[in-house]
Amino acid sequence: MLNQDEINNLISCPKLVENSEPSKGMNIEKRSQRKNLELKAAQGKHLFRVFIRQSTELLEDFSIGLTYRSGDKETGSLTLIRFNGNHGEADWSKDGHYSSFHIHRITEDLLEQGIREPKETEITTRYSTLEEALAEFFNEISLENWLGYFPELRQLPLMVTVEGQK
Amino acid sequence: MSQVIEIVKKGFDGQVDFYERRAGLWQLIFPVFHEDGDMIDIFVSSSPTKNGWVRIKDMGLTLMRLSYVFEVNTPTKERILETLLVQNGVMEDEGEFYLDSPPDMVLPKCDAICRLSAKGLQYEAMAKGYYQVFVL
Repeated sequence: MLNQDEINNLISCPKLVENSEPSKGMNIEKRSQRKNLELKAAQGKHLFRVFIRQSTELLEDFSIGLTYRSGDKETGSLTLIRFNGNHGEADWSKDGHYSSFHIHRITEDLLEQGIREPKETEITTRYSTLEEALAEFFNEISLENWLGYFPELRQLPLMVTVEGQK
Repeated sequence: MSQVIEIVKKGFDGQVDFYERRAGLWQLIFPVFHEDGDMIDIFVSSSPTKNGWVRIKDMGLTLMRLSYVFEVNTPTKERILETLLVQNGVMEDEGEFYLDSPPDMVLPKCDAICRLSAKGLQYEAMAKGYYQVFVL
């Protein structure tokens, strides 16, 4: 089982996009826009997958996640971190995350409890659109060559970086 | 539609609320959660086919969530999904799970969508051969 340091290192280790499906833009399928990226650690053999989803009707409802593909039977594939949009303006969650832009993370404590869903949540003001969330997410997971796959975001990282330094 | 919403809220005995997410589209606010702590996504609107009835639906968000880790992209997987829909009496339209109900019957119908949504997310295990474990 992964410990917290290993989880943190897997999220932050430098990564490269190996493949993108579709290569440009997003597929529209079953009422959501979808894109998947296959990633490889810049050093070492770790493999990852990024999924990007956005509801076609509720645009604020989006999700960007990093899944670790361990290749190990016990660990399997595990979603380490997910940047979410908001799911409406009212909710019943204790911390109010459901109606806010929020980030889900897996933790060592969750894995020890047998929970494999990234249940630890944090409300964030780091982004307010899918495009801003993508730039923040790619920085968070140290993805090195993402601009080549998202040329439409070329102007965005500067804005996000400036915001992040405030 | 507002009158219908009031009837539905009364049927839930004040245990739920509705919030108008878009014009004519109401989101059910209630304490039923996915394993990651997010609330299950249920919406209601006027039924487009039955006058005075309500359409209960998930706006395609169950299959979107499932696709984070699992795609329904083979005949076998589609057959399992169809079986789940039939078992729960739920219809599907381009990825949206829905069913129509008279206003005073919304509570049990919402329950069917919730069970399907929760069960749909156990779908990965089902499609891998553990199907019988989860079929009620």
